[in-house]
Formats: sequence, structure tokens, C-alpha cells
Amino acid sequence: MNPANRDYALELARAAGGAILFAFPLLMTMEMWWLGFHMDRLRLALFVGLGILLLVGLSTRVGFGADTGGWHDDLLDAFSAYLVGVLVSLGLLVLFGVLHPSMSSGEWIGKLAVQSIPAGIGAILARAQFAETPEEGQEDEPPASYGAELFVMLAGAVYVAFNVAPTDEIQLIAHLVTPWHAILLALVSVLLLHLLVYALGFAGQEAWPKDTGFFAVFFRFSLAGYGLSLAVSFYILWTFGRTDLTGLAEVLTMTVILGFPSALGAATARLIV
Amino acid sequence: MSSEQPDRNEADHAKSRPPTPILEWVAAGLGAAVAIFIVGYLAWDGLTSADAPADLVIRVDGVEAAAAGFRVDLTVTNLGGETAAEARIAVTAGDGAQEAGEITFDYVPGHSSRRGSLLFQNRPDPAALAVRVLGYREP
Repeated sequence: MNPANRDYALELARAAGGAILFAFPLLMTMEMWWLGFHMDRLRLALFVGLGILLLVGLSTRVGFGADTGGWHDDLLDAFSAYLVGVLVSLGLLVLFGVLHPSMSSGEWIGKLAVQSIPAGIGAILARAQFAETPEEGQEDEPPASYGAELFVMLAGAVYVAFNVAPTDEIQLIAHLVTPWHAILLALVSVLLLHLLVYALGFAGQEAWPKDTGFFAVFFRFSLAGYGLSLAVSFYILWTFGRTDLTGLAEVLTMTVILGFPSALGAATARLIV
Repeated sequence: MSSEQPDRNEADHAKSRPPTPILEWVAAGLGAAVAIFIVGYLAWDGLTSADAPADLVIRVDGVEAAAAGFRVDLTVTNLGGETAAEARIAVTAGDGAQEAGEITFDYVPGHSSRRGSLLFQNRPDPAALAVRVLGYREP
């Protein structure tokens, strides 16, 4: 086996480790198994398609192949990460007895499809978090473009929102809160998104952009990030069929509630990636 | 979260390998094939049969003696595409005893089967068992 291949096999193993760590909570969530067979097939197909685009985008930012250069390499990374995500989901779901030979092929594929994207994200992020030799520090790189910053927030929002969206608690909380609670929660979400990224001094904290006032940063990054978080929340609720036959007020409340973990995800992603 | 990353310079990263390892092509190729298969299967399923209404049929697999009476084993199969949630099934022993029982299946996915059992005090005649789906809801 030539050394390049051996190194790459190690990368794949590391990616599998990342996929397991990031995806096991979802793999052990029964609502996710149920969604695998009862959610709308076309929405699930769309979700997997968009999820793969997300993986491609993420691999341009982190990538897990040793050489992060060129778009074709990012594409290869994204598909290898997807393969790792599918295989990890397959292995663990069989091990948990969730997938069984007596089940129909539709059930197998649905259950795998809904898990494959978060597991694939884990496979890619493994590079950012666990790689033996860190890539040269983010400080050395040219500052990411505004679009790239927004994309990273989007990816983080998707990943974290996805971890809580399948549970019934989102609907339950929507029944518990008053509109005032929801408004307050929205304000808290924006504030947290801003503070986590700029103010609390976590490792990876973003430098305050030069020559920029508070409001410019707040509007361009924190508020834009919250907008993305809300859009992600709504998309995930729609994908899971939570918006079907549901009144507008209820849908908006659920969107704001899921927007809270989304915003946390958006903030965390800016720290990690 | 890792504490601090040591500063690396450009020279450290100079070991970039021009040729892509074959394994990378294999992994990515398989990944692309799996992705196309999953999306294709879901789309095909969605466009053809997935939204056919749930349609449950029940098969009595057998009547066995159990510690607490007699066990009637059932298999519920959903011939439709949509999932039936909380499917309730009633079974009545056809003879004069008129013993009856009811069982709920949380989910019976489309084109899939689920198994369950009911317990009777007296041995029911398998041929005379009356089995009926009471109802189910959308998930």
C-alpha cells in the first residue's frame, strides 16, 4: 500500500470517528428512526441533495483530505465524507437493531438517508477538530469572504437545529409559551449569537473587523446569522412535515423556538470552523 | 474545544501531494454512487407509490399455548405507501365464547410488516378468528 493511500485510509478512519461522535445522539433518537419511514419521500430526497451541497461547501472551508486545494478535491472530500456518514449510520443502526432484514428496502434507505447528512457533517468536521497536524492557523489565512462567513453559520445552524428538531419537545414548547415568551426567546437568541462570537473570549473568537462600528457588525453578522438560523429552522420543520396542516402562529412559534438552537449552532460554527 | 493551535508557517504545509491517492478516488466514487442511489430511490419512491394511502392486511400466524392462556400471533402488513400510525386491530374469537382483544401498533410503515400477539383465556379456533382493523392515523 503506498504511503499516500495509507495516509488517506487514516483520514477516513478519523472521519468515521468524527461521524460517530457527532451523529450518535441522532442515531439513538427514536423520532429520527420514525422520520426515516414516515417523512415525505421527495422532501427527504431534496434534503439529502441539499445536504450534499452543504458537505461540498464545508469541505472548501475545512475538508478532510490532506490536500485542501482545488475544487475537484473538495468535491472528492464531500463524497468520501458522505460515504463515511452512510457507512457509520448503517453500522450503528444495525448494531442497535433499528435496521432489520425483515424491513422493507424503503424503510432501510429512508432511515439511512435521514441520518447520513448529520453523520457526513461530523465526518468533515472531524478534520477541523481532531486532525493531527492542524492546518496553518486561521489567522494566517486571508479573512474569509462575507459569503463564506454566512455559509459557515448556515452549516452550524443546520447541524445543531437538526439535533433537536426531530423531538416532540419543539411542538410541546410551542404549546407552553405565550407570544411574549417567543419574542423574548428571539431576542435572547440574537444576543447569544453575538456574544458567543465576539464578546466572551472563547478559543477561535472572531476578531472584530477593523474600522467597523458596533451596528455594522451586529447587522452584517449577528442579525444576518439569526435570519439564516430562522430560515434553517423553518426549512427543517417543513422537511419533517411539522408545518403541514398547522396554523401560521404555531409555525412561527416553532420556528423561533428551533431558531434558538440554530443560532447557537451558527455561533459555534464560527468558533470551530 | 482545543486550547491553542501552534502557529504553523507556509513551509510546514509544503508537503502537499500533487497526485490524489487512488483510495480517495475510490471512496469518493463510492460516496457519489451511494448518494445518487439514495436520492434516486427516494425520488422514484416519492413520485410513484409513496403517497398511496396506507392499506393494512392482517395475517394470523398461529395460536400457541402460553403461560397466561393462549397467544394469537399476528402480522400486520401495510400494502400502501404511507405510514399508518397507532393502527388499532381487534380480534374476536368466532365461537360462542365471544372472547375479544385489541392491540395497537405504533407505526406500520408503507410496504412493511410488524408483528404482535394477543392473549386469550380459552383456546380460540384459528379458522374462526375474526380480525379487523379499527383505524389508524397519519403520523
